Amino acid sequence: MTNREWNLRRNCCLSPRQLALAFLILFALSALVSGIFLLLHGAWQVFLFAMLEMLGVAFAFLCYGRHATDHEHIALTDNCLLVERVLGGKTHQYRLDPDHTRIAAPKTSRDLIKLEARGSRIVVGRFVTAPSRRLFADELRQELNARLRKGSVA
Amino acid sequence: MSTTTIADHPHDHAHERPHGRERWLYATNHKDIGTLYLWFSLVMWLVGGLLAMLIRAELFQPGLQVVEPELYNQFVTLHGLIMVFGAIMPAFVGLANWMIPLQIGASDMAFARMNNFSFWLLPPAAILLTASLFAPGGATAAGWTLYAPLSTQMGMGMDLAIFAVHIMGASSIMGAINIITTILNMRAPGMTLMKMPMFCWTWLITAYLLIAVMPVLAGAITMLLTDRHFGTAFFNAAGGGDPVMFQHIFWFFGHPEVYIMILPAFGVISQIIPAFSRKPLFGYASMVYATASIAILSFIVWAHHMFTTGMPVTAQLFFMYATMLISVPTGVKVFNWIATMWKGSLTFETPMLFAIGFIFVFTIGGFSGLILAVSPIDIQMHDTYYVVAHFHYVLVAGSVLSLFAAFYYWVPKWTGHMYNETRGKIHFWGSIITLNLTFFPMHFLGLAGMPRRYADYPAQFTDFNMLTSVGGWVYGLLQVYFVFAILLPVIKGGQKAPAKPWEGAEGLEWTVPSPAPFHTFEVPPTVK
Repeated sequence: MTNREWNLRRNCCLSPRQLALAFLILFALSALVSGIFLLLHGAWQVFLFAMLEMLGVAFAFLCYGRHATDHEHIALTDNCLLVERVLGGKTHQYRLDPDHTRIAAPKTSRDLIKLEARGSRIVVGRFVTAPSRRLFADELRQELNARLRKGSVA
Repeated sequence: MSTTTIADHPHDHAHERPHGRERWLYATNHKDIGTLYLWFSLVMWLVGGLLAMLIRAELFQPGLQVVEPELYNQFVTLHGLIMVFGAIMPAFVGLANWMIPLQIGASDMAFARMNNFSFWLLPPAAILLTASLFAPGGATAAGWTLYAPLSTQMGMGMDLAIFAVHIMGASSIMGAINIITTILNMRAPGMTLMKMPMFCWTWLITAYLLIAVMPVLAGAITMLLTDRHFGTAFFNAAGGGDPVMFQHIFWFFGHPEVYIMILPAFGVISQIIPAFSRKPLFGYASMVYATASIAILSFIVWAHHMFTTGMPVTAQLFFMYATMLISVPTGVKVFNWIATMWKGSLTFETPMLFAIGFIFVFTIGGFSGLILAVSPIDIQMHDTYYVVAHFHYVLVAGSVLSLFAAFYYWVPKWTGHMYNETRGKIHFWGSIITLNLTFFPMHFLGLAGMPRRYADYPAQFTDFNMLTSVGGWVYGLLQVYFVFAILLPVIKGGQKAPAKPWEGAEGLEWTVPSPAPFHTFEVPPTVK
């Protein structure tokens, strides 16, 4: 049973599909304009530059869109601390022992959060800003402490 | 738009802020890059303005006094190219860099390094363009439109100009990609497209326009280059080409370019009028649709610049009516600005004065544009000072006034200081009077038949030309006053500005302290 979970994702308004649609609109506009010049006037340079530009736009959108859905899902259950990282469409899962997890909170705003348990170390928080990382680290520490207290009372 | 933020701005990570030369050379912060763009455009505006002063000195009286006709034509050409590509466009990109992330609650632009690159392309391009004056044969003298076959015949100054325009175009394209990606992807949670500030909307549409037409310009000047040096004959009738085709290609870029220089101005005015009327913008949705309509219509009107090249009556009628149609969405905008002011609690601080001044003079420019849209009249007026008056009313009186309005409105956020209100008002009243003194008589000169791009004129045009020159010089002096009495003092110090210096101002940019911290909205705010 999941006791607590966190979703650490960057703020991105458009899904990759919506971004592709935005690109298609731009491409259609540019292809229409340059296509007319190519077909009516033989101005292949206009078409060439339009396609070069669209290549640039596509590259920029791809760079952004490929990582638009990147996120880290962290779930604290009775048995484990599950870290699920989606990076460029690929999912990686890591499991830590919650009773032995140590949190190295970020010291500077550039630092990520290090989670360490029984020799395994995972770095999380790359998709969110420094204040969100600090907040997450504090919340996770509280949850783990509460769990330890509960365990020692029992 | 109603906005509520839960973002905190605890500290300005000052220790992480780069210092010295590196801060500017390797700048990736949107505010720093915005500042670089604004300084660059100011310098280029002063260079272009100096050329304008020299042009007016030559035209002060008939005969040749100051420069030879060849050099005069180089001045005219460089004045146009510098003002369009070096001053107005970068100034609006500077505003976009500064304000778009602040207005949508983003921490920076989407591609910070590309942002740096797109700015640093501009100075070399500007140096190429201005230094071409000293090239063998001088700078290009073909006018900013670079019409073939004149432009296929000039010296290496023409090649330098082509290269410079190519680079500036590449910079604009990168800027546009950045702006589109930022606005589409990085809006704060809750900020739907129809809640976005109008400045962001107008820039989003402008960026689409840039993406669509910049390759057309690049194609046109590359064809020019290959005609000049690589044996092609695109624009050479003797080789089976057609010089009129250059005009078609150029104006397919050129007319949307006019809207690239005015749509962000509409956005600025749509921010300022509600703030000083203490009312929400009247007809927000209609403003968005009007802006999009103007952008779409701008693609189907290019040939109104070419009525005298000869075209079928059907084509003339099409381009005439299509051009007239643009006045409908433009009228919607002017109506909405006035309706916003209607029964508002108006106050007339300098940004508002410039905004109202913009509406007044832009409307004059719009009306003269409507007159020029009528094909039979345009054939009479083509290449006269009436056209010069028209586009200066749109660009100097329109775009530049809106840039001043934006400066006075947002400078407390940029510098953390309030500008001197009295000096701001002197700047406004001086500018609005002298720019009308400069450009209004040009209508009469054009109606009387004075052609543009000539260093000399018959004595009958002397009085209006003298008036225009004096108006131009005083306008120029007032801008020196702006730099030394308003701009530099407000950067150095002055009364501390609160986070929201304007009572009626709305938007996320007013939720951060003044001056805006180096890092803002690291946690995206929530917009309701």
